[in-house]
Amino acid sequence: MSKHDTQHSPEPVASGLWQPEPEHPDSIGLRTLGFWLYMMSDAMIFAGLFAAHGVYLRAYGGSDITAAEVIDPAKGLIPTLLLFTSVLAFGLASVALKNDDRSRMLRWMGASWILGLAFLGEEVWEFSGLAGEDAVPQASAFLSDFWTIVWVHGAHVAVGLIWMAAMLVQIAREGYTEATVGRFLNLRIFWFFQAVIWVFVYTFVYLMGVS
Amino acid sequence: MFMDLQGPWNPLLGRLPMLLNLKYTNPFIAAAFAMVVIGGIVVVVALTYYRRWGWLWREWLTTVDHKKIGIMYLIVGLVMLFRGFFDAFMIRTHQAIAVGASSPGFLSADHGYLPPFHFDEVFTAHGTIMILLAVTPMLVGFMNLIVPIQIGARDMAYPFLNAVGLWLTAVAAVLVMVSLFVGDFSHAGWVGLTPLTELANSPTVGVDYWLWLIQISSIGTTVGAVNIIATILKMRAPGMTLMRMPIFSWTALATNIVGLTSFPVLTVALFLLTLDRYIGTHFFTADGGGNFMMYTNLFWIWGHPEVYFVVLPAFGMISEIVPTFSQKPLFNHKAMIVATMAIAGVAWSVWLHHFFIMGSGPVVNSFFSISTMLVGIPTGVKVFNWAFTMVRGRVRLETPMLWALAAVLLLIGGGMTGMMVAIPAINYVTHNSVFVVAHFHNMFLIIAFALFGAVTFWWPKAFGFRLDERLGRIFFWLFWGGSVFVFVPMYALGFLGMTRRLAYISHPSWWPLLLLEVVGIGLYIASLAAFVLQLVVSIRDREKNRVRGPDAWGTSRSLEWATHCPPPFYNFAATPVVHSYDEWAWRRERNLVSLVPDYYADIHMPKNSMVPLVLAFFVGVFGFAAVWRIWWLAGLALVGVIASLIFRMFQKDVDYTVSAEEVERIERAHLAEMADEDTEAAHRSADVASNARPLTQ
Amino acid sequence: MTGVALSLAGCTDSNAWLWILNPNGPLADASVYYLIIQVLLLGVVILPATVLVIWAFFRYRDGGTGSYDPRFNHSVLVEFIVWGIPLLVVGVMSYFTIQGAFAVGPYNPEAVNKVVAQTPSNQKPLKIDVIATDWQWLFVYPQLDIAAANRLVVPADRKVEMRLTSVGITNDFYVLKVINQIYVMPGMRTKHNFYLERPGEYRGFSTEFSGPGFAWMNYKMKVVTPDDFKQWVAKAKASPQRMTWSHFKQYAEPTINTGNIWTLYSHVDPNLFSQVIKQVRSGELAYRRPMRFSEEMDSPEFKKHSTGEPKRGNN
Repeated sequence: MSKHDTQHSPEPVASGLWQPEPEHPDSIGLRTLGFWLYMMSDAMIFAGLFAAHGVYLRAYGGSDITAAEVIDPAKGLIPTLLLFTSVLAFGLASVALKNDDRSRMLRWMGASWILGLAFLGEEVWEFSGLAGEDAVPQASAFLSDFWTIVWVHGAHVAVGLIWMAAMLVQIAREGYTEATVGRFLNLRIFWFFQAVIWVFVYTFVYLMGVS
Repeated sequence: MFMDLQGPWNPLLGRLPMLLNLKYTNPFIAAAFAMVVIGGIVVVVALTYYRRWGWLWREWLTTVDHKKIGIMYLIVGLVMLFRGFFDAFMIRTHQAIAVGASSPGFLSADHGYLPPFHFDEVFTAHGTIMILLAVTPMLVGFMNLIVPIQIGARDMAYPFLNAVGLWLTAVAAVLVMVSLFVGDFSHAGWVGLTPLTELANSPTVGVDYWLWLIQISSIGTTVGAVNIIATILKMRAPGMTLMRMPIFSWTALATNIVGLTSFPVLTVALFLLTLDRYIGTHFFTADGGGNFMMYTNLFWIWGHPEVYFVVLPAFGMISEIVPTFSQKPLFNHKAMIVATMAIAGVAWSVWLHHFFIMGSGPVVNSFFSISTMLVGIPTGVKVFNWAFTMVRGRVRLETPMLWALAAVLLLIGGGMTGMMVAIPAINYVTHNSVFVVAHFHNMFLIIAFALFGAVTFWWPKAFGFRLDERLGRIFFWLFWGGSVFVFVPMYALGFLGMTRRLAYISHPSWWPLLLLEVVGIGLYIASLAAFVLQLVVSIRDREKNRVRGPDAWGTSRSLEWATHCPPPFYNFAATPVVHSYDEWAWRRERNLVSLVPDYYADIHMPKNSMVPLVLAFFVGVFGFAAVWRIWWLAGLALVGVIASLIFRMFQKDVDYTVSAEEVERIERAHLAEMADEDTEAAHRSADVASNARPLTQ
Repeated sequence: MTGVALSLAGCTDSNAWLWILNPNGPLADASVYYLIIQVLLLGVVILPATVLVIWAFFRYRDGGTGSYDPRFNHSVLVEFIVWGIPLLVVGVMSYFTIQGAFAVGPYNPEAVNKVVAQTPSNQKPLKIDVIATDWQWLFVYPQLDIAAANRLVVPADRKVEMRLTSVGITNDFYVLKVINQIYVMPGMRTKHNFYLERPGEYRGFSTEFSGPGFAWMNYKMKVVTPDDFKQWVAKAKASPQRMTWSHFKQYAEPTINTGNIWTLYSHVDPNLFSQVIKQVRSGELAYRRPMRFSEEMDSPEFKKHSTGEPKRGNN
């Protein structure tokens, strides 16, 4: 740590011009900000899809399959419950993180993962039933939209599940580090976000679809 | 699979067997193919001969340094600019021949030398490439290169993601080049309006190339936007409040907020179209309850903000160049920030002006027309404030200033014609005419002029030497001449009623004006030759044009000039503390221009990574497989993408520390070198010194 | 190239090549009127801005006459003016914008209504149905039971009410100097209303890119006196061609009108227009474009989908 002048800078250096040790930005906070920004753009994707949904609400074309025939809000409650329990389990996993209890956290995250997988399974089962009744996305614009909006959400759940599986392995192996905790917090944002989206899907597609 | 495809398809090769029926006899395609192949061989041989593969891999392909990434963005942008320019050359020369029923035809075309199949491809490629793969990467490149230095950061907030964004953009560029030789490109215009882009109406793989390359490049842009916003919000040097942030960084912030929120809408529009084309849904078809105007709406909800996405950073560049060469602070810089944010804000409520003529009522049209005109107010404010920056200044007309001034004048013209076409009563007679084409090229020329100004302005910052001034001027005047000769006749042709995208022009009285445009395109070719020559000569004479000290222009103002040219990989040996909006000018006025801090400290830097390149490779393979409907390959590529992400997740050793001693050694060596040159070459630098006048008399 | 020069000399409507100098009818008149007003208003901002930029540069360039004062970097007065005046101008322009949007709005153009109200006539408006196919135009006159492909003839001094639809792709109906643009969309109906004041020959074309045949979607539009119109109707009535539904399905095959041919039909299926919309929406009326057929204009495949060489004296 020395102070030196060269021919190039004959003036004495004024203090307060440089700060050799930069303020370290809080790394987890920085990651979270970026992830929130990404979530904002993802939210715009759903905004676009829901705008489209408004347009295709009754766009049956020549098809005689109506919304009332394919959408059953009561049936939709089962995946809703599965997904919400999964989110709850994930919340309990973050509580365990706060209490620094790794095994409990892993168990809750595992539970969340299984519930998420059950949600996807339920969706697959429900939609294969629809396909059996010829209510396929090719039948009308309404059905195209119905399948797309539910399955874009489903794709988010699938991505979340892959991520969560990797997270489970990583936290089991490496414990709590700045990287794993930051990633876990982002996953929490993502998992809660897709649940919020499901609330919208359930409200706008399932409840309003048949009203 | 799924769809009623024309032509062959099999599970192993997808639609690739279609290639057997293609005709590669077209001399243009053959020449382009030969150029690409020969260029590729030359690069490979040169790299091998000079044993530069390791260097290329370590220093460039795996780098996460924002400056190198910025430079690579600029290279991708420039290469695509040349490609898009070649398309423009073909459009102009073809249209100049294909005039009137008795005009000659060549190469299986009745008129001109491009049959509709190729002509439609060429103008589609021109639009798509210029907007998404030339202008956008160049702007993002400058934001990468300059913003972190300008706000006093060591790197971007997420250096790894930064590299991902770059390589995704590069992959999109590769896809568009591949489409030249493997299959065809879209024939439906860069806007790709439905139902024209539906499978029944565009049965080749062209539209699929177009879809996937835009999707891939917009993921790159979104990732970049997240990165730049987070960098600006979180990584500013101590003392740099938002109101002290340089205007280019402000425009980068505004533009990326616009980008981050608008690109997803494009993603949705293209995704739904993809579903239509790949599994036969009915989003944008005329039958089955589809609504193709929904696509038009979604596309322009992205499309118009996109216009501001590309123009705002250009305004930022002009706002950096004009004060530097007027030797005065930017006039009313707070108003400039407000104007920037105002333009970004209004961007969202104007999209319908792209289709006033769809039959919407006068009330709806008036609303969108007036909100469009509102954009003119902050834009006008910017022009006036640039002018007032010059007032009571001392304006030096060096090349960057030449480009910036021309951009301001172009903005006045383009702004006027933009206001004209925003008015329904006028739009009803000018819609889709070449008047509109001339207008938006006029606006894109502002960006081009600002970009070339920025290239000249920031080149010494990036490389440590200035570009040749004389060839720069020749480049400028030829480019200006090209712009005048191409677009003034085009405005006139618009008033004569010429429509855009005509493969054949039935109206012979337009011929003289079309020939004038060919003169313009000739000037453009000459200008680009001058540009290449300028680069070559400047690199050859780099010792002569070497910049000594941090400030290349002597009157620079913002923080990026408070480090060496080129900056070391860590940007600043010690983080600068910011006192003023024009920090470097503030320091120069107080004679505090030394770059030597009180003491040095350790610096943490991110390590190189090959994951972004590998990831982008898999994305590229996915894009290609999806275009040709080779589903097993697409699936494998997707697995590859996920695997690379998980691999990165489990990588632990991602950054390293540069010790304070090492930093001091690098800094001392650099300063000593500068000092040597000081005594050795004092006479050579007379021109630089003459620029470095004191600010206050 | 000599051919181009020859056809230059023989150009039919070169008497007025700038549409703003020679509009016909209240719609085009209104557009020209608002164009002039708005450009003048824009000049209030544009001219001072241009002058200021150029003046500031010349006066304050290095070595110029202006004095140097870097402290001049803020002025509330300047800011007030540069925000205020454009705001005022946009305000005034907005007034004319709204007025203009109502004057030329294609569904109920006030400019046309005004002229129609001033010229009392016992004639009902002439109805024309426009059907765009890939890549031809069919103009149906339902009141007269005639139709014309790639040729539009309307009488002067009579209001015309148009309905427009398309078979495959969105096109854009436009006749330079006389009829403002309107989208022509498959499965949908748009409307247009206009009134033309004097006879003349005009060029109609599509302005919305619709595929390889787009550049050849040109047709001649004739505005004729009421007497000439009667004669023309009689000529159409004498045509041997009849536009039945089955003929339409054949006619609507993708065809590039390279030969610039036009045809008259003495009879039209009375439900043609609504049938087209209905069948496009149900998907029954749909055409598949062959791949790459426009790549070689001398190939048999292209010849099959085009109308051949242009014929001389075809007007």
